[in-house]
Amino acid sequence: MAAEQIAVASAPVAAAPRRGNGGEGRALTVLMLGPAIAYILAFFAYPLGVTFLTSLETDAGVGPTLAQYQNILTSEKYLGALALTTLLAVGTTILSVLLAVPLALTLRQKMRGHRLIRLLILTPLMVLALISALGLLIIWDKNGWLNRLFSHLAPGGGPLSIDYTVPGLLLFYTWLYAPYTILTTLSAIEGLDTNVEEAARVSGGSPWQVFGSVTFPLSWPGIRSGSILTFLLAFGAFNVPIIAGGDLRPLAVVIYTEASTFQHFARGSALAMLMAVVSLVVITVYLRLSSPPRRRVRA
Amino acid sequence: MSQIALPMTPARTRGMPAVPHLGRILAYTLLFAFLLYVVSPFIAILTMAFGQGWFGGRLFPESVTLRWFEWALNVTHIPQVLGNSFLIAALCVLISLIIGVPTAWAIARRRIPAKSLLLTLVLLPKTIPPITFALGASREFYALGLVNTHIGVALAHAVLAMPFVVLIMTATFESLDERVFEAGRVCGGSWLRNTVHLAMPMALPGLMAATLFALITSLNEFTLTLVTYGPGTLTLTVQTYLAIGDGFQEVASAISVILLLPSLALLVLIQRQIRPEAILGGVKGL
Repeated sequence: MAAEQIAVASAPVAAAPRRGNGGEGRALTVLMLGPAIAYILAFFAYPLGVTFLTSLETDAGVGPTLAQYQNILTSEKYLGALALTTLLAVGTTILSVLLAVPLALTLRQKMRGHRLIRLLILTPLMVLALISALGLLIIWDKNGWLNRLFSHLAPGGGPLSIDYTVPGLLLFYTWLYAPYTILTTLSAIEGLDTNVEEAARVSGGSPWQVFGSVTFPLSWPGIRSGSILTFLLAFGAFNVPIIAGGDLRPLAVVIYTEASTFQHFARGSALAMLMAVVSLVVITVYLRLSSPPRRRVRA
Repeated sequence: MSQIALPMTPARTRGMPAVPHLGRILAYTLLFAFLLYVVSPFIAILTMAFGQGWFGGRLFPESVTLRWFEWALNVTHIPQVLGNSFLIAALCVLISLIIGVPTAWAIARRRIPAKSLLLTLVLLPKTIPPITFALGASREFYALGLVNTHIGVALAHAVLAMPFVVLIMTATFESLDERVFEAGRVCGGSWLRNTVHLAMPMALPGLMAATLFALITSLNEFTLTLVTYGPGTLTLTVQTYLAIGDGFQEVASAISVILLLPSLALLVLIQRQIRPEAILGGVKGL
């Protein structure tokens, strides 16, 4: 059960007495952790270091210099790509929470057909992102079925502009990356003790009050952990915008084009480092702003 | 939507609830809209793959055809590419499990210094856009002669698959009840016997979830494949990308339909066996 999982995850220390104090135990611990640490150093930290050192070179391979960063930070093109990437990632995260909360509140009622919807939530995780992006491009094309269905909503009455636009990319990104938010939100909301909400209701709280001051705060840690995954994936998205972005080129696409098409390894590397830093900063700020007064609310 | 969920008593939450009429309509509208949103691209792909002459503003294709599948099988070597993808994915799962499971056990059940630092280190590859280290990895893998080898592509994929294994298995191992092992020891079970008969069965759901997440990560990985693949290790993601890039939406759709089958089989298996919302709910690593 989801509730048990949460309870267990939030109180692990009491459950398992620790062993491994003696010399032999320490050797075993090193044996268990060694491969993982070595692996991460060799295939994550080292390549990251290579990217960083490359970013300090000029296009001709001379360095170290900060010239690439200077170029980027004064270039409208690159700053525009950074702004677009951030806009798409933040927008996707907000949309996914807006989708996840009502969906979880509805699914919690276990009405007829809820199993099918639960299966559908997982679909975007299981299917190659490129396939989904192709399907979305077709169905939202100006002659696509969904576009025709909703075309009366367009200002001029004509087809909606979805493919290769910012709203379109938001729609596609949300399709792909919302499942993480939906899954953790569902788990958090279904893990809630309904007696707490009942108590709030009995005390005279309106439905909105109960939701705003009981249900939402209590399930927030779950919503948050999923929305962070959604943000990270949307920020780093590469395969979807490269085929569905058209002229809209988020950072990952710009970096790949610089490095592979133009052979500007140094510039691509500097852009990549900038992207990593922005991603880490946004996540840190989000964690700070969103953490409840008590670090973890027990469900 | 809160009006729908909230006026119910806990007793009604289980079973068929007596939801107010309007709330019920709203709820089903939401569910139907979500269904349409998720399913529509697949319907489009199916129609594109089996249809001929679906362009120029036509509502439906002119006729039904199988020629796109013929093209997909003959021109794009799908069986071979499928083999590559699954071999790489299997290697990636193996690497991530061998490295990730002991790490998770140590984090969950042994006294280790700087535990949170260690967990952060393991999760770091998930918090940084893959293109960042993919650029450096392309040079490293080239220098090591790992480009265009199955093991090389798998090694690159495992960087992203292993954090999932560590997260899921740490949560799983933390939930094991120490008293069961106590009982096993009291009854004279050896360390090996305890592991095989007690720890493994109890950790099996977590292990399956970890395996599947690693498998899907590898099958889906695009960025790290693009910098390590070669003609001999063409994977499904890259082949699909190339087909879409060539502008043949029909052939790309046919490839996609072939690829959808194993994905959907996995999907049903997962939903039946594992209940991923429970697993992901237990994971609070980030």
